[in-house]
Amino acid sequence: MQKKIAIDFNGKQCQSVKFKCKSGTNTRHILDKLDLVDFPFIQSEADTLKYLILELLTNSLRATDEIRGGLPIVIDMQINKDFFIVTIEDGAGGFDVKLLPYNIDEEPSHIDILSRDFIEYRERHGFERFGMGIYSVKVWSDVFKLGFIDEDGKCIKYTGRGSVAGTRIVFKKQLSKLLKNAS
Amino acid sequence: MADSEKRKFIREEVFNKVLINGEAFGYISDISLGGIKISVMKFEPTQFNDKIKIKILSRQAIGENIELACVVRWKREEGMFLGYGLEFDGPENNQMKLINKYIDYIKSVEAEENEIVVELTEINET
Repeated sequence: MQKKIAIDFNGKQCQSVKFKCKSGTNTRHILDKLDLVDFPFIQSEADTLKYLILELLTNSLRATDEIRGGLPIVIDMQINKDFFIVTIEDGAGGFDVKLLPYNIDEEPSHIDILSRDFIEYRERHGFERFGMGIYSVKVWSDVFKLGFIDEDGKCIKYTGRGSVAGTRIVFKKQLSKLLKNAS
Repeated sequence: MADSEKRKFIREEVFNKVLINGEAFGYISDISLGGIKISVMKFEPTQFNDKIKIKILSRQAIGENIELACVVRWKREEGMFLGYGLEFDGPENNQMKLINKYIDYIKSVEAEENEIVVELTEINET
């Protein structure tokens, strides 16, 4: 029988690994949990993936802390026959994608992260936000989807502050680009 | 571990943002009393032994950011990032105090209970 490709969590072979955390969770604790995950990927890809997850998670935690509560943040990592899939969902009230320093629908290769828009974005946020999380994920993944959800997790449109319960980001990458022994 | 990555001091794993030479940005992945490992996108000009200035964006953690001069000790490709091993370049007493404070903060967080719930879907091999 062919061995299934799995995510190793602390010695357990898994098809999916899900973390749920609340407002106030420190990224160090997420890092500790991620250290228990052994992706069957090329090391540099596994390292990159960890950064991407932590970067998106930092955004969700900050937004959740700002509204002082919200629904739990869920990080779901799944592996199937063809793809590695990450879903990050929060209940932090969503955000206006027009406030990002680039057009989110644009091809990442056309986005200049050293542009004036990025510099102004960083200055506006006291150099504590880089505007890089979603951009980096778009660069790395083959499929990227960002949407907003209501309190039941149903996809809805963001029409302004208070119009949605949270954000859901899903990104996928082909396993053939990630696996250690991919031919 | 490669010789180039060995450090005299114990490293603490961390995830934090860092600003390099006031313009490039990246993440810290570990820190010790002697140096730091950072990963950055699109920051090419730096080579072995170059001197750079970093600002660890640690305000949320310890109430202030830490600005330091560093020397590049190694550099390597890490997927879509470039990893740099930096050694602190003659940090002053007040900077060392902040580094110690930051490391103590990381250790204190590590020791805290965390309430992260883990759910697994295990593969049934049968």
